[in-house]
Amino acid sequence: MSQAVQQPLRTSETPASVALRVRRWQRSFWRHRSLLVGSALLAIILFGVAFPSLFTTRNPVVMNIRDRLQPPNPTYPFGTDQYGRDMLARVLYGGRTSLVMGVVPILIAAGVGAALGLIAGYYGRWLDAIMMRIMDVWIALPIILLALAIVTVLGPGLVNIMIAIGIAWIPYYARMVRGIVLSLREYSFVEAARVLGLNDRRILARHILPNTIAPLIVMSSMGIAGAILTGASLSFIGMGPQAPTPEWGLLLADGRQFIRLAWWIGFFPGAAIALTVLGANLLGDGLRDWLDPRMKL
Amino acid sequence: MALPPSLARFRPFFTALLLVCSLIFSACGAAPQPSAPAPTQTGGGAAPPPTSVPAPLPETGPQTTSRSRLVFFGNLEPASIDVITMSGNVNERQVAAQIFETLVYMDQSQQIYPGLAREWSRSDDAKTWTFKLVSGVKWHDGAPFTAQSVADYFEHIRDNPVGSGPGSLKAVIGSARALDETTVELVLTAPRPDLLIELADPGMGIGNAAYVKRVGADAGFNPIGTGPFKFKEWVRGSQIVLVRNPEWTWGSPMFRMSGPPVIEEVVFRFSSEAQTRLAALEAGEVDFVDLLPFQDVVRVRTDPRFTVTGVLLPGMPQMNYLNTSLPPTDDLNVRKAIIYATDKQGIIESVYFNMVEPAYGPLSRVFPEYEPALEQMYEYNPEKAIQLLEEAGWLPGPDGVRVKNGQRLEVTIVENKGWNDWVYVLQANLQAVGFDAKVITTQGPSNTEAIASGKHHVPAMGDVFASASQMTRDWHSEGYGTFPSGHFLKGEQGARLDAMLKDAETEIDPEKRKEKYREIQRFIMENALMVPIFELYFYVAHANNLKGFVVDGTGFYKYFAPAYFE
Amino acid sequence: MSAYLAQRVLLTIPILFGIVILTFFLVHLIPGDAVSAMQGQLKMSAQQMEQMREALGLNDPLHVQLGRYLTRLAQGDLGRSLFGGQPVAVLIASNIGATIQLTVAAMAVAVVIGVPLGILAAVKRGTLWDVTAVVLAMLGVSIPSFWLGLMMIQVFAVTLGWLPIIDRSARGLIMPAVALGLAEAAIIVRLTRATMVEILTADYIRTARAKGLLDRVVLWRHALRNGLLPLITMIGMQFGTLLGGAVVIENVFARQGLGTLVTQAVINRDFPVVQGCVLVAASMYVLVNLAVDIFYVVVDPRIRYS
Repeated sequence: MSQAVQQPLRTSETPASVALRVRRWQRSFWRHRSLLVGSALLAIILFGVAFPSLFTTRNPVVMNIRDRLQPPNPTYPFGTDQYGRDMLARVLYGGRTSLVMGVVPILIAAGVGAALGLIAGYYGRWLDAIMMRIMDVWIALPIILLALAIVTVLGPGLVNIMIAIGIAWIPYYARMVRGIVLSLREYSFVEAARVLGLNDRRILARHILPNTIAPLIVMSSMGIAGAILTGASLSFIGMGPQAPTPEWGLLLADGRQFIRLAWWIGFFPGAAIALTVLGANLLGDGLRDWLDPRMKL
Repeated sequence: MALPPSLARFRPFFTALLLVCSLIFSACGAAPQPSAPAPTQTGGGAAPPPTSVPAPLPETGPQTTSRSRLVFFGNLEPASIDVITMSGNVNERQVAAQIFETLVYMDQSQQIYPGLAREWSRSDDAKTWTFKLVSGVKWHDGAPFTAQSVADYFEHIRDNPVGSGPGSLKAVIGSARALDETTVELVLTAPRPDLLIELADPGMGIGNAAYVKRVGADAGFNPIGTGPFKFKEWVRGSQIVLVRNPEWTWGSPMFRMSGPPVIEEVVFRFSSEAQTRLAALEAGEVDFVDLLPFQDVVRVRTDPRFTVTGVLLPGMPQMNYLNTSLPPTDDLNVRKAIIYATDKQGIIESVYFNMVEPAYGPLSRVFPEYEPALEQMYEYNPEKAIQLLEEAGWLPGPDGVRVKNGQRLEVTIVENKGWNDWVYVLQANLQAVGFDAKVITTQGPSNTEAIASGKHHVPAMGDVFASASQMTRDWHSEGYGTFPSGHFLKGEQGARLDAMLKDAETEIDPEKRKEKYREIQRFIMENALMVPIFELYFYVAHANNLKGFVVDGTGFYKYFAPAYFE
Repeated sequence: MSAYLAQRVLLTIPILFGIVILTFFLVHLIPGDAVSAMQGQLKMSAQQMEQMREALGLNDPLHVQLGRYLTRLAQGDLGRSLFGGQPVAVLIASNIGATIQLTVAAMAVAVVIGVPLGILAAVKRGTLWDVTAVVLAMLGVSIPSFWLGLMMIQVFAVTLGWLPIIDRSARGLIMPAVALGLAEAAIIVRLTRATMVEILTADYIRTARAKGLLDRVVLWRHALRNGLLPLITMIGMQFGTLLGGAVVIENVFARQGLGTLVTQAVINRDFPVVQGCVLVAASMYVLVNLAVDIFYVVVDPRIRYS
């Protein structure tokens, strides 16, 4: 029963309740708006982060002490920090690191987690039992604590933080995929394929894996949101990527020292984090309705 | 609360939830919160000025009670309070300074005062020291404090493998013995002309060796000293509470008081969040905060509720070592180029908000041994840096980074997170003249490891001490744990610096000693062994009505024995 | 049912054991060791460091260290901090209360904010109320909690002077609890809304209404009681997230707790303390979920367990 929030799927659905929900979600149109708003928000952020030179000509790490601590103005729309670096450039270029830091761990977690879940769910029996007990142990360690411990082992830095967050998220994916596989295993088409003598690999690849894609996409979209926040938290307690990489979590952590003197140093990176996470969450929400209305929460 | 009609039917549910919540909040409240701060209390926020307040309450009134409690907000909770295994954590010394007493004290003008020792004498070779102790002193547990206690303490720290006091002092303790009830003799294995300054360090507070032997490590969580405040309780992670020692009447003349302290309780709290410390001060929750962020000094200083003091911390100024054992910084011209390329003034302005002053060498300007000639040796001059690099054969490469024999001009700077924020300006300065400079961020122990590895060119550093003889720990090739400078200077020159340091450390004649240390400073700067950055200032803020406390010789530690609230 | 419960309890034991093993090895993979970490503070010579390593048993092979750890653990001994030498069990005991206080208060905040909003959204689904509640919930999970905490300090403590920052009283708990609980509130809004929508459209509620029962009775007695069950499961599951979040929030508010203890221990490479904290946090999570599962079985006899 102990599933993560990020795990949206309920395996105990009855066909009747599924049908009911399908109709209901089709009726309530506004939820699809979250797909629209979410993707629009992410598209704007991605565009800015992908083409920062369209918005600013300044270099994010070049210091210009004469122009230090400028509040937002036409020259510096997001102001400057204590070294006179352009905050707009820092937020835009920093977004690259932050987005990578959100996406890569989830790719790791989804890839490894899905593989583990498929194996456990499909082969069942003792393998499943052992793997799920390991997942029980794994999941019992709070993500930040586990990531903190792993970062301490590997040392701080961008790559290590991504590995740490990725490792911490694996069991959530493994559990979800296993749940789906378990429910599919009982279906007649899988039974039929097995009777027909198809080998396990083909059954997994052709009949089971495709069914896990939609929930994986939805969960990953929300996972990215979570990973960005976790990364920012680790940065905040000093375990994140190193300066002068203008990563959002780091910018925000630096900005807290200027919260009284120059609010904009922390405000814009904070807003960037919040909007990106919001966009990813909305997108995940919308995708869920759109891709697979059976999924809930 | 007006609920929409459709929600009104859930009202019982809301009520139940609120009830649960209020129960949780009230159940975990440790102390009842006073309804409003008294108008004259420390930083009473928006409270009106007390002009219209009628006759003040009698001395025993609630106001007095609240004022007899001093709350100090430091940055890092110590692991223990143990003068035997004293760590480098400044807050450990800060707390210890209230519980323990040192043989002598030193104030900010570098004057030595009697402490537990009322008189002292030394042999001509500065190896044998005799201390006459004040009589009638009692440990906090009631046991008498005698000359034997002091002898036991010195022998105990000598025999203990860890910690305590200035790095090299322990190594030279030969023996200590009680000559009579109140006289103790300390024999050193090497001359120690600066012994009194070292003994004035709060980390050299006289601990109760018998007690420590009896209870072991637990002594650090229930320390027993002879000082003005007794240890009361330590809620780990929350606070350390000390209470006034009513029997303490033997205080050092430096405190200018005859009786016990007037402050009832001293409470120490800790947070590494500078903004949280500051916010607590501004909200009137604490009386004293240390390590005020530089960017907030001006604002807090103009706030009429608080007093801000800045003290130049003596020692080795904030600097970067230049590693001579590793190319490209093994080349004198490259090292000099780094010094010329460093925009000290830019650093002081942008990172330290003009709250510190430039440094020119390895010793603070407050020491009598300081060499003023260094001030003219280097200036900020990027053109000269470029010229030196070109002379050394480093010519511009395709991507702006200089190249020589196919090698790029790469250096790594080591940052100790939270302490060396200037390294980013330094990095930009070096890049501007054609270096490929990388910053390696480390924290805590990993900083020591990174420096000790000897694999980095420009590690950042700084040190606080009260006597020039402590230069040894920053520069001698043996190093002392976290001061592994010897990794950086190899061969004949390294041996020469080692010999100069050892020679100066044991020099008794003040004038000769001064000249020896000046020579060391010139040697270091002529060989460009470091980039001096700035003299560290330490800003503290306290409530205006807190008066009387005394600051020690380093400027870092406060003695709250004579403190009172006005 | 009792067979299921027995099985459930028994299953917890290997999980707890797994946590012990995992935390032991996790912490021992850290490069460098505690003595080189202490060197920074104590200024020891190489020889002194070696003596110290020997004294602390850090030179023994890993399996010997593990064996020693397990033996001591069985006696309730979590080892001693490498800094200052206080027993880890004592350190944790003096910190855990504050962390539990914070997480429980944060959960209470989450429920107080989340449940009413969720019900509002469900009852008024499709309207502006619904949209507002869901958007607020979305914003709630999107704002970094430490940023929220810092902002609250500036606004409510410094500028307005309403709430204390470091006070140990109940009022001092309000800001950290809200900063930590807001994201949970958002999750609860979504859960409550989904559950209530499902229940309100379920057949038995319609039947009850058709029988002429008052709306309030229907909602209070039938809908909410059933709706509360998934909420309780969620609270169990989210406990781990809250513990993790507490690490950050405790640092922001300079609060005593496991979070500040573990952060400092990680920086100091104080193995036994990190080990103890992770072990205790994970065990707490497992036990809370065990309690939730048992509670579930007892409260909801409809569910059959095999």
